[in-house]
Amino acid sequence: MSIEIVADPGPYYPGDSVAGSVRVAAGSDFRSLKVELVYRERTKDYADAGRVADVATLEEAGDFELVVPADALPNVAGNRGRLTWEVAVKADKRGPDDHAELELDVRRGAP
Amino acid sequence: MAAHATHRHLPAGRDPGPQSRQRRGNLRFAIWTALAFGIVAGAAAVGFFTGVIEGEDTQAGGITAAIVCVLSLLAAGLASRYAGRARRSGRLALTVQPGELARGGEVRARVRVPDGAAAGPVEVGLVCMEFCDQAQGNGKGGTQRVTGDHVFWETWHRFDEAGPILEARFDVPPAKPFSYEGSCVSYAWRLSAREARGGGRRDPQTDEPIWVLP
Repeated sequence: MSIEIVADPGPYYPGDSVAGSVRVAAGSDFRSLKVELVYRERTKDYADAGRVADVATLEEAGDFELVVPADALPNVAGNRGRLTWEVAVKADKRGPDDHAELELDVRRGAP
Repeated sequence: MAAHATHRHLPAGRDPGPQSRQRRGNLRFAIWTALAFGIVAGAAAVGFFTGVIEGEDTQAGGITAAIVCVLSLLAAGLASRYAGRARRSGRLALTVQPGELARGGEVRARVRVPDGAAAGPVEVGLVCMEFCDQAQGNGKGGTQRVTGDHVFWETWHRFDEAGPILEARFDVPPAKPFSYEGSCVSYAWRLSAREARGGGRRDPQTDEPIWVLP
């Protein structure tokens, strides 16, 4: 099953809403879709969720809206590591779940 | 014990994150393992040489055990040095103001040079370290998770003629990382003062961590 996240990648600022939609391939069989706004730590080999800031659960593909928290840390790009906000979707289905991520540009302070 | 005493990259009042705690634990394990090897090998060497342990060639066994002992103790010493990033602690006294600031802010370093401490130039720098977990071969066909670190960004002021008091000011670049203690990525800032004797990492250096806010 392929999942597509459609949303404006930003830039966003603390307190902003992130509106978008989740599309899945026709005929896909899943129980629910979990949409999370995650501050993710990434290196070449590993990734960890530093913080899950907001969650939406969808019973079928459709629109979602998540809120960037007021105390959101901004994205950081290092040499070998990165800290980035992402919309992460997990499709709960029989067998291994399906995943998709969309990176957002989140900055500090008002534009 | 305060966190900054065991995690020298952190200023007082800041707790280590999961990655820093794991890294510290791995180093402690390596140090104690190497020490244990060294002690056992040392005891074996004594046993061989005094005849307590008997064999066909006790002299060869004793020499081998002695070599293992020396190598293990060297490894423990190196790991211990790495654990604290114990570059030769400098005699330069470094004070920093403020100890916590936002990106884009200015931090001031004041270095007191004791009489005769600095035979050559003194360099004062602002340094950002990046810590990243990476997969490393474990020698058995698999991988193990290790934390690597490197200087992500640095800038230095050089004082060719060091007086008793040196002062330097630095702006923390707004586009560089802020201090962060994570699970697989961390960033740490410090001010450093070193006696530039041309020895690279062997030059005596004094570090003072600071906390950079977003």
